[in-house]
Amino acid sequence: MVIKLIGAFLAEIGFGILFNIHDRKLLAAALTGTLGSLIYELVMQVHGGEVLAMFLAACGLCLVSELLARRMKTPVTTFLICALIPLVPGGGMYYTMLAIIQGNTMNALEIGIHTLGCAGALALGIALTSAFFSFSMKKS
Amino acid sequence: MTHDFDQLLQSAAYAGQLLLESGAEIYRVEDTICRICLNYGAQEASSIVLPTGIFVTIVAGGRSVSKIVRIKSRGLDIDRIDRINTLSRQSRTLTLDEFLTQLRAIARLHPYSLSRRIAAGALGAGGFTLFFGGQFPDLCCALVIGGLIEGCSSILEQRQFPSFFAISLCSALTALLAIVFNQTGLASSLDALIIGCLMLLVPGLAITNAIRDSLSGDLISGMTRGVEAFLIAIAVALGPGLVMSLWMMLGGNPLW
Repeated sequence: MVIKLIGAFLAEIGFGILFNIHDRKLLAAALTGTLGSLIYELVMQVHGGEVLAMFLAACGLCLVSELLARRMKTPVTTFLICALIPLVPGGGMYYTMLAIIQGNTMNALEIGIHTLGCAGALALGIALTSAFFSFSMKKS
Repeated sequence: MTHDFDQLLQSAAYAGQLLLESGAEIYRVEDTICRICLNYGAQEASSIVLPTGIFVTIVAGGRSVSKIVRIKSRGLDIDRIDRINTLSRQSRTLTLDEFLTQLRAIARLHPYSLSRRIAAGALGAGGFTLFFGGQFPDLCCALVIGGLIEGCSSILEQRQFPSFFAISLCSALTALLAIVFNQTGLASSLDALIIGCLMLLVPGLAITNAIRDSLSGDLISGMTRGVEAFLIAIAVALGPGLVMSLWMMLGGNPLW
């Protein structure tokens, strides 16, 4: 798991450079993304449900992104886009494609719907957290 | 305090254009345009922004002026969004000319150079190959493939190659190289290698913006970007699918 997290961190740095993020913000974005992957891995080990893990990880990283954005006075997307990348179900998309070219339609449907579920959980987590934030900001 | 309102409109629309081309959310572009216009003496300002165009109208000095800008290129440059955002918040203390000069200076700032992008692509692909359970040899192969496809996609983007085909081409190249590395025994885990490298092409920006735009009530852009994300995902899957089925059809060693 440690190797996975190191991998996620390195990948985040790479992506941060591709997205043209600089200096302190680059480091912060990479750490946010690593935190998201950490939550995902932990929930997967304790509970084992990928959809739930995805949802909680999305909530966690969105929370941290919103807080960091306010602290560093920069748009939330700086951290959010970068941190979201490791959670995008690339593996699911790949295995769906693999099942399709193997001609295994039932398998493809099963994995495909699971992947869509994961993507939905990801979107829902982010939507909920940022809606909560914009609501509480308007109040204060 | 009289301003040249045509110039104001031009500057505001230009700021909006830069933001939208750098991948900012819709509400941020609309807010920025209106904030600039109101700061420089317009009585009313309203803007409608779509992923493909900007419409601004201001009412000033008893007449209304409007402008339409068509947006063709869409990229991602977070540093630029950040700088324009900061600049527009400072616009109260600057004259319009100073503002425009600073805006042009931001537009001239170059993102990271091609060689750095290639290094970053290599790092990204390598990191994700580890993340998806690859071993050390896989990591080395991913570094090579990642750098190569990042270079390819940058060059294709510069040549204004249609993005759907560019992405399919890059993903096909990824799969081909991964199969070659796997068959020559350099990389043990084909799946981790391919997934890790494909993550470079995954539509992260489109997904994030689709969610954020829908959430702030910009449903049309939300839908557009959602569809964009879906199309990119299909393009990413298409390349390896084609290469792997061709490989099997032409009687290559079994891959699974």
